[in-house]
Amino acid sequence: MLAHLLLVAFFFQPNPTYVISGTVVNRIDGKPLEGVRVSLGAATSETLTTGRDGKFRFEGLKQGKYGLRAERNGFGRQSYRQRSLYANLSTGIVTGEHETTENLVFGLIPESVISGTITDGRGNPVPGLRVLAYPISGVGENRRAVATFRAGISDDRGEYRIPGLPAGSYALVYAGWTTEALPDSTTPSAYPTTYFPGAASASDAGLLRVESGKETRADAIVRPVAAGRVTVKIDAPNPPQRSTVRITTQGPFGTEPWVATIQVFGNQTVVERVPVGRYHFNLLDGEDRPLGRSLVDVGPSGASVTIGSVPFARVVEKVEIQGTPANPSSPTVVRLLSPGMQGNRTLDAEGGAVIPSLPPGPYEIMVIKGSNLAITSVIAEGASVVGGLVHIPETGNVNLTIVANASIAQAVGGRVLRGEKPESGMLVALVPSKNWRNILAYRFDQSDSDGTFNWGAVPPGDYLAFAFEDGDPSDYADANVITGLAAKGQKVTITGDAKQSISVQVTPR
Amino acid sequence: MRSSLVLFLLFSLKFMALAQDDPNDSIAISGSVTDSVTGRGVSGAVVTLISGPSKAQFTELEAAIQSGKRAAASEFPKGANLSATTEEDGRFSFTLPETDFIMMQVSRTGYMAVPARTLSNGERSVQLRLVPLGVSEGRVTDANGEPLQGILVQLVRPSIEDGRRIFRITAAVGTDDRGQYRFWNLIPGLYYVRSLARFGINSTMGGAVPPPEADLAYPTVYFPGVPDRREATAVKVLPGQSTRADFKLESRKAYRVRGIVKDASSLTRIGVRLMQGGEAIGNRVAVDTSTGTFVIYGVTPGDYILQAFSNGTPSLALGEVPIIVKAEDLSGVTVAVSSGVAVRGRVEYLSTDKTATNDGSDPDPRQRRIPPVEAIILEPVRLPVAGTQPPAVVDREGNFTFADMLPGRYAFNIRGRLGELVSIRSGARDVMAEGLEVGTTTPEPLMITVSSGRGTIQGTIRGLPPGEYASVVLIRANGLSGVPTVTQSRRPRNSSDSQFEAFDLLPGDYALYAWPSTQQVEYRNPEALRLLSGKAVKVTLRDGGKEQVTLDLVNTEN
Repeated sequence: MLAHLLLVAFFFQPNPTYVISGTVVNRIDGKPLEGVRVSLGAATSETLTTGRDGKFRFEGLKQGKYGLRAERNGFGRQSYRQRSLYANLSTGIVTGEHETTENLVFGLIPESVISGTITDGRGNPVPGLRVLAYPISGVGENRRAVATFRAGISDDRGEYRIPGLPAGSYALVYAGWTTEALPDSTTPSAYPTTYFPGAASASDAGLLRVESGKETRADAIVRPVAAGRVTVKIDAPNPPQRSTVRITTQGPFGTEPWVATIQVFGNQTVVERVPVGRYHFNLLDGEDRPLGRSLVDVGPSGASVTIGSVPFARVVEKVEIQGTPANPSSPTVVRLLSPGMQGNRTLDAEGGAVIPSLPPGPYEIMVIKGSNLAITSVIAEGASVVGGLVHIPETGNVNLTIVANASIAQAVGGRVLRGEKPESGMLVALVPSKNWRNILAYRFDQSDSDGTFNWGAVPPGDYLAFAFEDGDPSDYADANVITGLAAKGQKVTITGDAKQSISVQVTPR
Repeated sequence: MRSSLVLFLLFSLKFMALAQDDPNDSIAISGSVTDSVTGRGVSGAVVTLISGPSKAQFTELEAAIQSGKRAAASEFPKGANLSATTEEDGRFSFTLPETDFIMMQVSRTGYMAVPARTLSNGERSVQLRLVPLGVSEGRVTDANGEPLQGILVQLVRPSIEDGRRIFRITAAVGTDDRGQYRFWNLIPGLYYVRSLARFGINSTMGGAVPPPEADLAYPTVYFPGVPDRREATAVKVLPGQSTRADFKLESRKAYRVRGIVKDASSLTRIGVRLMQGGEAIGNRVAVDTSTGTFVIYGVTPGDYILQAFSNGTPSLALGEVPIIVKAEDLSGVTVAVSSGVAVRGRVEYLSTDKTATNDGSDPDPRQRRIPPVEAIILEPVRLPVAGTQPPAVVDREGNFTFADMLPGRYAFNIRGRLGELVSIRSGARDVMAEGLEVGTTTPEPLMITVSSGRGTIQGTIRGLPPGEYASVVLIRANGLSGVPTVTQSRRPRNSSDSQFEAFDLLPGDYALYAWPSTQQVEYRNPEALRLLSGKAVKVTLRDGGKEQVTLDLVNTEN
């Protein structure tokens, strides 16, 4: 079931009511969980709290589809049979004459914690140091940060703690250079950015493996290095009264850890005690959008940097829309989304627009005309397209030609079957039968308790369908993985008919 | 002559040492830095030493002055500016040319800042004591003792600024997965701890986390669990120690408030929050910045002020609307933000008998330039960001306007040697005593009366420890609150007593108080003054008169 889908109850008979009941357990050890707040989403505002046996029971329910949710400290908020922590896919529960909705086992995935103590190499705690945890996926050279980082900060005992993490591999960055952590010294020094497991250089960074429901310790030693004074000049056409400059450094696996933010009044400022190293000084506008940046090597005697004079890449977008849009009068908006340094950078422009200065990095492309359109292809001149993402270079000219399909706004749905029997909780994937590299065209859902699923807008064409028992969308949204599985795929032709319903057999292991 | 010259040189010191004297004339200063609580040495503290010119340089300079030579300031001999880091045992040492004047300062993170100390003549061994900062920590649990994560805990420090008691949020942190919070590097003293009703877990990773469906909320309370600060127990943070304040919170049925911020498309960084008793309470809020629609989750029944703000650069815009939440969701709330209301006023200058301009050049009061009027926010918790109001320029007719004053309670002041602020009124309100309440409608114009007299009160303060200064407040009887004049004491060199002088005073009955400058007194609060009245020295000043008094220190601590 897709998250955020409004559930509507259908009435076939005037009176019968149904029950949804079960036990909430820890999915790792199977033990019942006490004190879990269980609810049925938007359909009813009732919230139950489980007792020691973990049991819950909702009665007097009308026929329909319900989203069963639970919330508890140490587990966050999860939906029934959610594939992974924070993943959108879960299984809806359908009540009805022949449906099984009682004695459900609602397994919650426990959250993990990364914690540790930061010391200065002489046994003294280092307070006020930010620790950034980046979830990393992929293997070998394809490893990259998949989402925004989570941060902790060391206290006066040097201890930090980052709770609420999904299990997986993490790159940890001890982003130095905080005023509180500055060592007292008669010569300027500061803590440099340090990478788990104690590397001074991002290229030597390792990965921390975090298990589900466990607390993983990652202690660190950061040693002060010489620090210099950096003179910052803003060179923008209309310099604002106050500018924000965010200082970032080169991190492991394509990350760009943010080490400090400074406010500049007027067009010049001085930053004291910058640890020696290489930094990007990013000039931001009032909406936190980067206006320009400069790369600086800071030595013991400091450095001088001018930001804003050299623009980023100039991006010209051309959008071709195939088919007939549902809302022809609504404007076409191209949105480029980047995991960015902190949160998303969203840039809207009318179709065929020019972005005079776009910061470098990987961007996901969305075309919106009333609703989100399916992207058929992206051709980039001056940039590369890898895995459905456009990698914008540091500078230069980029021409993007984007083809989107507007005719099929309808969702395509169906049912997962094992033989004749509906199968719930399956990860249902739809992949174009050609051009597997375009992961923007991939569709995923999880089957509900009656085996039904819904893929969202799918352009007509030939596809391969899968119903996996295990794994996450991120495990399959990869051309190499699909190449290996293609022989097991079920051939499907999407016709563009809104009433089309597809039966997908469980994919053999 | 000699001592005043040394003082002058101290202020013209440059950061370079010129120690090319005969090594036989050098002196050694050594000492140690200890922790006032453990008594052990403090390592890694930076000790800074500033000295006057050496004896040799001094003799040369004196000879030059005697011979009538005029030296430019840049030719004056400079003293030394040295610094050293303490060893593991807290010890430090310096060698420098012999000199009359040595000032020393020490600093270390995790310890309170201390003022610089002047060494007495012949003092060669120095013991410096540092007071460690404190910790406040605790745990927030629900009624069953389960830890609550993501509850915002604020530390509110009562302090006295400009004679008024104000409460500032000095720090805020969310509880972790164990329900724990911790504040460190706290100046020892009293604090209020406040737990904010931010319910649930604010995680987003990969997908968006849907808003809480279980509409339960935890109340916003002060330690040990009361809604009102006046009933709260302040926690005492002690030097180098940790003070605990745990919260046990009971969840309540809560509702949602939906509405729209008007003209949102023209605003940046829109925020919405609920206020109660002038303080923000922590609700989870979702705002669609493109349309201005918002939903506030977890609102328990009650009366609130709904505040919307737009934190644009350079100015902040704010709007407030009262709402009442009953046992159901509330919809259709509309709130408009504006960049504040205009507050106008006028400065009236009463006395004409003495020149009181900044430069003393123009005796005509009509031509007198009055310094700008400053507005000081007394309830900073009311504003979403630390907003500072630019001072309002006073024109030749004495009129001034604060163009964009945001809601809050303000005090007003005019700095500079103008005379005495006799009264500040807005209609019938005594703004000097109570401050001015600014809401969303324009308050009555401010009437500031300034006057300057010809009287002087001088005095001596007894019992002040060496190296310390006193604050002296002179309160002229006038209505309920009186009119305060504040001055600082100074200590002539080689004198054990500290002295003060206040001039340009109007005739009248004065009550005088003195306390160490490290302490603060609520001298604008008549109640607080009444408690001290036994300590006051009273004096009646005639027009143009001069009075001498001796004051004992009022100790406001304990």
